[in-house]
Amino acid sequence: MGNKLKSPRNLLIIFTLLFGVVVVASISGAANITAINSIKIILSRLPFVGSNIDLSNIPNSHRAIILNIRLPRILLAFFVGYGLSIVGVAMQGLLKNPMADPFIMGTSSGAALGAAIAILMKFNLVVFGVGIVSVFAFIGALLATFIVYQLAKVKSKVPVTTLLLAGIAVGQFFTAIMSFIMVISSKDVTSIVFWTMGSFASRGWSHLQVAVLPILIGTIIIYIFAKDLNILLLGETTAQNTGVEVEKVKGIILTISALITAFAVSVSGIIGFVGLIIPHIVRMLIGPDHRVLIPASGILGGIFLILADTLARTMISPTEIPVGIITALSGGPFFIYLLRKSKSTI
Amino acid sequence: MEHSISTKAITFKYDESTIIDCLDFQVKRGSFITIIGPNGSGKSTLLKLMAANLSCYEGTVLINNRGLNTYKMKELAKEMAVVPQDTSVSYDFDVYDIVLMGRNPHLKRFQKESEVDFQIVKEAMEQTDTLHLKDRKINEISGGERQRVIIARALAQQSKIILLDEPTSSLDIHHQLEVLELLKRLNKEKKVTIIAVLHDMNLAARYSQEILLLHHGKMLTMGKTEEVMTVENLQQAYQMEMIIQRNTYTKALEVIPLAVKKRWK
Repeated sequence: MGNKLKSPRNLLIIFTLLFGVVVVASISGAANITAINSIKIILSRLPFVGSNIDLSNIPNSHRAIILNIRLPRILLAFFVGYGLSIVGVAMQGLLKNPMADPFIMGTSSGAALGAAIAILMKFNLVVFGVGIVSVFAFIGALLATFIVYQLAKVKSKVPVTTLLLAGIAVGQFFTAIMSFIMVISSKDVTSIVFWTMGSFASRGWSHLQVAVLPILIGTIIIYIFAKDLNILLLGETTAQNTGVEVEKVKGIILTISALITAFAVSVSGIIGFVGLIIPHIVRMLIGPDHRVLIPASGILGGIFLILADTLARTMISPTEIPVGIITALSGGPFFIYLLRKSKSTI
Repeated sequence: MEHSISTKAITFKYDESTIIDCLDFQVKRGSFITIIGPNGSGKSTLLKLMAANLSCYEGTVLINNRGLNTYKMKELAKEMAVVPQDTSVSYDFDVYDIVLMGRNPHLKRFQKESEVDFQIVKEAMEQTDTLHLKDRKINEISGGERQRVIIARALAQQSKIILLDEPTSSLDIHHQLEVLELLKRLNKEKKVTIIAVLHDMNLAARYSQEILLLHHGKMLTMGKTEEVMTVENLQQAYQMEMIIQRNTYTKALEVIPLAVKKRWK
């Protein structure tokens, strides 16, 4: 199953693409750093090869810009895009609904509300290395997902129409509460815009540290259920009769999806459409087998968000725009295309 | 006597209306049973209760004398395969991959399919005349072809029991007979217990050894085909004037409906 897709050639292509995009992103911006120098600086941080690279003729300021500002931001964009895309794949497979994604399901809004409450109440506690902000984001994400799922469910199915309605209603409601809390407490409208549309502005290594492990672990757990997600496409009852513990898988996948989304949102705000577009494009390219679809969507989603973020910070530089604007600009038309395509099945 | 499936006073309610009303019956290992009855008599619901897709309001279903709800899903899938009425698939998988999914209960989570699995899948596809479709997309083929693919998937499960919900409803007469012949062969040669809901009484009479006649969620009668297929029984269930005769070619009983009786109310 899908062996032709896991060929070394394709892996090589996708990792070359990833590396190319990282380099392009690292040299885009105000400071004029050459691609060669940038590659050297990045490679110097890798184990084994790092010690052999001579950085003596590269200015210190360039090193600082790449290592302290651009590289962590690029990596963070990658992991957020990676996480959100895999959540999109999992939700679309689980609900057998092409419109499912953490943004449309309201999960992101729930996470953002939770995080905003924690930030504004100045809960800076860290328990077992996990910030209270992330815990609140997780609770908010779980709550939103649960409400939308219960509202949208008709018998054991989740039709496109009810999912969209429930997702928009709950998502907008949560976003409104969040905006209200932020307005009365900070009166800083710009930060609300950046939070509700997502941004990687002034994100650094500390943010990456918070998000990377939970996102990685979460996506690995989802990958463990790849085969079950395949069988679930035959319908829940058939999946059950083929040996899948449907309710258990559903509970785990939705919870883990909320977890990944919560960590993604708590470092970047609400970035929409990534989890919607990427899985569809990848599915068109390589088919619906989750064993390939999950990793491929993750990496492509990461690449996409690095590019989107690079655009967001360079387009009208020195002013940054929220990265959510870029993803929505590309995702909105795609969403309409999907709606038109699936009209016959609604 | 070893029973494949037996039920103990199972009842199922949907909202307040009772769909299945205190059913008690036993299915012997290796038998071929069809469930017939008019629309709304609870045939599909009964099948779903046996398949553990619905849970009983009261009573229990036993598989091999063991309660249905004590089975893990994978264990159960090794004992029993189900061919549902709705065979639609959400995204476009290759036909071959769909049939291969039938091997899932026999594989551990990270175990890859082996040559043995591929061989079993190939046989299942040959038996259902679907091997030529293996590289097609599941949503590109016709409804009848898809039905046979889903049956192939059930065969790949290699279970001792197969439940089928109207397996012939979307098939032409050629493939109707082919599927039923296949089921009969499986039943005879591999001793697979077959329980099928059928709409067509004549096909039921021709292929099954036993018939369960349902009416308003109650068992009107169950037994050898000849005992169940009487004018008296069928009239009570279907409210029809009819003749039952033996077909000279197939030697099976056949029902010739004559006129609809006024419902007594």
